[in-house]
Amino acid sequence: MVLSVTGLREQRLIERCLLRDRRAQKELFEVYAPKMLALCIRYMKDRDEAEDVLQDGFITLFNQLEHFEGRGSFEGWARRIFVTTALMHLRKKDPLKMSDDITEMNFAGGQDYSQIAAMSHKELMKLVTGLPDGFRIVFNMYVIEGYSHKEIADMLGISENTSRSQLSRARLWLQQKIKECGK
Amino acid sequence: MTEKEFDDIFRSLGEHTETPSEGTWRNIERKMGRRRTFTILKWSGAACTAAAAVIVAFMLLRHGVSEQEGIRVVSREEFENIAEAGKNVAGSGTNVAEPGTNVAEPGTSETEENISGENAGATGSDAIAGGDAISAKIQSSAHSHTVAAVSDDRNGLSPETCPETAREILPASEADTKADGESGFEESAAGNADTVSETENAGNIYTIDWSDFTENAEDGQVPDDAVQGNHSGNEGISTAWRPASDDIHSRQGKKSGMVLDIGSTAEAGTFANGIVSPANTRYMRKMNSFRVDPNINKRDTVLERKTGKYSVPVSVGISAKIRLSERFDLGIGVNYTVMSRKLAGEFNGNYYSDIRNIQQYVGIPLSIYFNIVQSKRVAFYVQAGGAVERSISDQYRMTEANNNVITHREPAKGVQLSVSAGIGIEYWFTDFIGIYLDPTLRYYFDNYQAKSIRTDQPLQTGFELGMRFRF
Repeated sequence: MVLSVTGLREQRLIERCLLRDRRAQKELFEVYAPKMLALCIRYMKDRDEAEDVLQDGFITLFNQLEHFEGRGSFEGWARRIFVTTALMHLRKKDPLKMSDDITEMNFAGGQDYSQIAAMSHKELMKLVTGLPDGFRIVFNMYVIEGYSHKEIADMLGISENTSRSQLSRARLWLQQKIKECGK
Repeated sequence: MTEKEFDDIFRSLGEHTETPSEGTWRNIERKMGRRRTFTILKWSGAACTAAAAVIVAFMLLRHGVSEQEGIRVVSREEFENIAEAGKNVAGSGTNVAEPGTNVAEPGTSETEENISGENAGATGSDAIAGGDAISAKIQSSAHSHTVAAVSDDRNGLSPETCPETAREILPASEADTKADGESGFEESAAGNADTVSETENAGNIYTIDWSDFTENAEDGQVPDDAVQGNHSGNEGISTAWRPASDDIHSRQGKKSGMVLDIGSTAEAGTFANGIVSPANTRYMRKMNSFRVDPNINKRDTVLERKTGKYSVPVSVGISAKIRLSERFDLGIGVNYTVMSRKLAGEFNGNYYSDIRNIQQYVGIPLSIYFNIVQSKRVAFYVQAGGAVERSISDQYRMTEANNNVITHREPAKGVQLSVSAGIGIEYWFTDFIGIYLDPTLRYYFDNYQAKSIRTDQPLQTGFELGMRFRF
């Protein structure tokens, strides 16, 4: 296994952060904050709340840094921390209410959604942050973060079927919105 | 469009970025800084509290150890009787001074010209003797003070506390008129200490020119003859008070300036976020290097993957404290230190989540003590020094799944150098046995020693507690 130059730099940065080097911590923040803030906005919807989650997420990250064992990418490990932090904030605000309806809705695959391929990230973000809470969380966790339904069920305290149902409903909701945008 | 394609489009949002607002990092720093400030404040508060407790204890104890022994001046007839009998009148260590003598106030030094040659013969002491020269000196003094015993600021004795002494000093006529010792003495003590209170009998001089003594008292030195016990039938003068130069050894007669310490020390890391040890950088690099290069030899060495907790290092030792001068002492000794920590890592290809690392050191500490304040029972000092330590054992104990314990020893190399500074207080139960407490700050240099709390947090606070034996 050969690490790239970027990987070695990252490793040095992590080493210095472990030593509580404030400059290294700031450098790590500057590297990962933009992506993590986008993640927080997707979960929290509100930008101010997303900034709070970002701050708490980085503090947790620096405190937990010694537990990073180097298996997998650092970014993936950091994302998990921010997702967990976002979920904690959401729980505090309002218990994650999920519909008990576990009916899975079928994806309307025959429709033409080519216009979404042309959408910018900003427009896609607007669509995602417009999702209702339950749909949004499951959609983010499954589609963008790559969690399995089992992991989502464990983290949210729901059943796997509920997770699947929420995901299908989220897709349908988005399809509906895209159709409305296309008109 | 398939479901997968639909998801893939949204999956690209994982690369989307948003710019954080200006104050975000500052807020993070502030939130993290609160914890660091708390850590520093916690240790600073503990150190200040300890120092304040030491000072308060000293202040309380100091006022409690004032001694009531002093110099008693008696009439000529009585003195002659005593001189003939060769007995110590007080029997409790007090001196008897012939009236009209130049009584040495504690802490004063007598100069040659103040002492008449005639005085030397009578009692064998230059400081305490009858003599016309001294009497003349006293008589001719421009200031005539009230007797010191009644003046609070002379020797700590007040009329209320020792009326007997006051009566003894004054001639009988005055003693009678001021039998209760209060009104007249208070007047004298409260008013100008230079007020005249001469007796009617000019031949027997009972007033003493204390201005001379107070002038000479500033150096705080007790004249040798005042404490050597060279008066006939008299022991050395006991002193009611002494400033910082109280020499317990001299008062006890001739004793060696050696004190034996047996103590133990507990240390704790401090300023974890302030001092970044260069040693730790090396350890982190070594820890991570195995992830980078799998060909590095991993045999017969413990590869640390996760750092656990450190235990408080504990030292025990024995040292000698040698008196160099009135204020300075030299301490040298030997100590034994044990440090332990928990970690997780690999050894010979196997991963162990519970590894215990125990390190043992033997060292020679060397310190200089500067005595700030001393009394009979309590002394307060500052100390600074260093130590040289050598590792005698660096052992790793790994517990396997079947509870079998594997032990591995790493070779020890080099020495650990450190410097320290701190304060200290000692309390003597008797003349020979006491206890001491030395809060200390110690810094451990990067000497390429095995990873421990010292390499992680080189600045440590320590509390040394032990017994002192004087011989």
